[in-house]
Amino acid sequence: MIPSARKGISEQTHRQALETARRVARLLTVPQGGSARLVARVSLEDERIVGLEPAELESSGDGPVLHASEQAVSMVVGTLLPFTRGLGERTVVLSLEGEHRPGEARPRWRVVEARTAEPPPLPKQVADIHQEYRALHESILVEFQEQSREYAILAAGISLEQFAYAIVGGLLIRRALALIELAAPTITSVLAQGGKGAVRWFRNLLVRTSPEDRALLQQLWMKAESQGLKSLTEVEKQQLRGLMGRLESLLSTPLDRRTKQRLWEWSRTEYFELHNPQLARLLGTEGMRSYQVHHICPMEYAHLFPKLDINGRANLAGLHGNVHESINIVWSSLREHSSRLRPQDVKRVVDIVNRHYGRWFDKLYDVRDASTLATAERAALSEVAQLKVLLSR
Amino acid sequence: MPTGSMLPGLDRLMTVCRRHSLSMKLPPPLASAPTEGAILLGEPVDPQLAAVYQHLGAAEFGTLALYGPSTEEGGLIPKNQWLRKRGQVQYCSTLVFGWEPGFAFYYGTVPKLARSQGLQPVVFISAMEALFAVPIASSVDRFFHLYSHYLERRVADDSVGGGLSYVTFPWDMVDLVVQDEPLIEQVRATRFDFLTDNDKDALEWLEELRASQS
Repeated sequence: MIPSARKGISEQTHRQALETARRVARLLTVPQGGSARLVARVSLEDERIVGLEPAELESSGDGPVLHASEQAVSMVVGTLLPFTRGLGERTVVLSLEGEHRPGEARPRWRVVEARTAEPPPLPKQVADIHQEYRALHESILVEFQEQSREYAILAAGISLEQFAYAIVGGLLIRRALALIELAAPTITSVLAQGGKGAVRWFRNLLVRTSPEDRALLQQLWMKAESQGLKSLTEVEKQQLRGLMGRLESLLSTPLDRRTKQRLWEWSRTEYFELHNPQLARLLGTEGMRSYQVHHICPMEYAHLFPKLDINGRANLAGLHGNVHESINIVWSSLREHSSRLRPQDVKRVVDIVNRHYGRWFDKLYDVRDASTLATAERAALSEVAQLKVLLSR
Repeated sequence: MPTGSMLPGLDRLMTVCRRHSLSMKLPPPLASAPTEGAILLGEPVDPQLAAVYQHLGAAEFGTLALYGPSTEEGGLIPKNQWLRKRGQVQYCSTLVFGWEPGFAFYYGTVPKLARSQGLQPVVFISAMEALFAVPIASSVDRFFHLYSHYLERRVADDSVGGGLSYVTFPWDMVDLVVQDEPLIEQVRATRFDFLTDNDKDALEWLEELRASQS
């Protein structure tokens, strides 16, 4: 069990523990003068008790059946409550033994073991994100219980980055991708790969949503995080699928100018801070001013590659502004054909650019290379010109 | 280095940088600073830009940097010559005086669109992928005023996390740009259309400005 920092136990949890204990107690019967044993399995999600699996009673003796006293209910409640201070989905196993002694009105019951069942292994897709997700999940629960029960207020304190962690981590850990699979097959398949890459890909998609959709998604997901996915009503699940469907359709829509501007800015920060801090150190603050981050598949064609994280490491190259300017001349030479380019055409141009300019990717550029750069530009333009002839046919 | 009331937009920009502890560099003016009426690269320099250069050299305000008015490497003259080498209209029709380090985003005055008193509008030149330029301010000081508000909005926005912001320049500043009447007048008269290169983003921006209430 993952311990929780939450304070106290809520009224709702107390009520659930009492109801569960009463159901368990109804199963606690002992033949007069005999003994019995019951193993009960209780399912929990965060602080909530969500179910009691059917349990079998083993008993010996053939006298008339005697029921447990109210004391047994208190005993089960007292045993269960400490287990509610945990996070995530889990099962608590309670082993109880009862015995009826001659001359006594009721059998005596005791708890011989109470433990959390070995949890199923975490999906491998969450290996590098589950810690961030758990911390975030816990902070949402604490906030929910101690500060605000309004989902909009909860969501206001969560950044876009954290929000992406919450949704991707939440769907993977709960193995709940099926919820959105039909509405958003591409999103489902990318998220299924998991890891920080999926989180960032999803964040870069979330940035394109309308403020209204983002607010609705945040509210729905805050409810799922604080109350469990099962708490979503059918209408809310439908809203979630509708939202995911709209996100899915954005994947094949050209990026708008605000999104491009944001992604350009973010790509630079993330490239130099996360992906290639070595180059940042090598360049120093002054040197970095002349270096830009090039999108290997340009933003203009991002919608032709819906699964590509346009701002992912694999699509970024740090290079000198002069090199970037030259590459843009090559891409701009295709301007008149841009709306007709198919994914395979874009890939060909990417290949041409990478072949002629790759030597300057992620490396220091020597301004004395200007003539080599000019030669590379001429060669790349000439290859692209051949492609243009094919496209014009 | 306050400029009195001559350049209130620049004064506001400096105040915003100080108030929010944004990086700022205020080097002294260069001996080569152009005076009002001077000709730079064949065109008259904007009078407000000349006034700025009488106060400051290669100054910086948060994410905005000015080219120092010199012929040294990285100075105003060689940078504009370098940008104009391919004959692209966005550079040949403007004097690029500012940029965002680390990006191919530039700010330039447009001499041929000077209005009365010689004030030149300012355009934003985007060259991260497709090259285009769009109008953002009716004067250099109005541009500084706009940029000061942009920096304030960035500081106020912590919704993304990781030090990133939703607020973009100039796209998220349209509410202020449309209040710049002399600029909107020129936009409605299609004076900036020749700088768009028919780029979708640029055309949409012009449409947005034209659709504003007069």
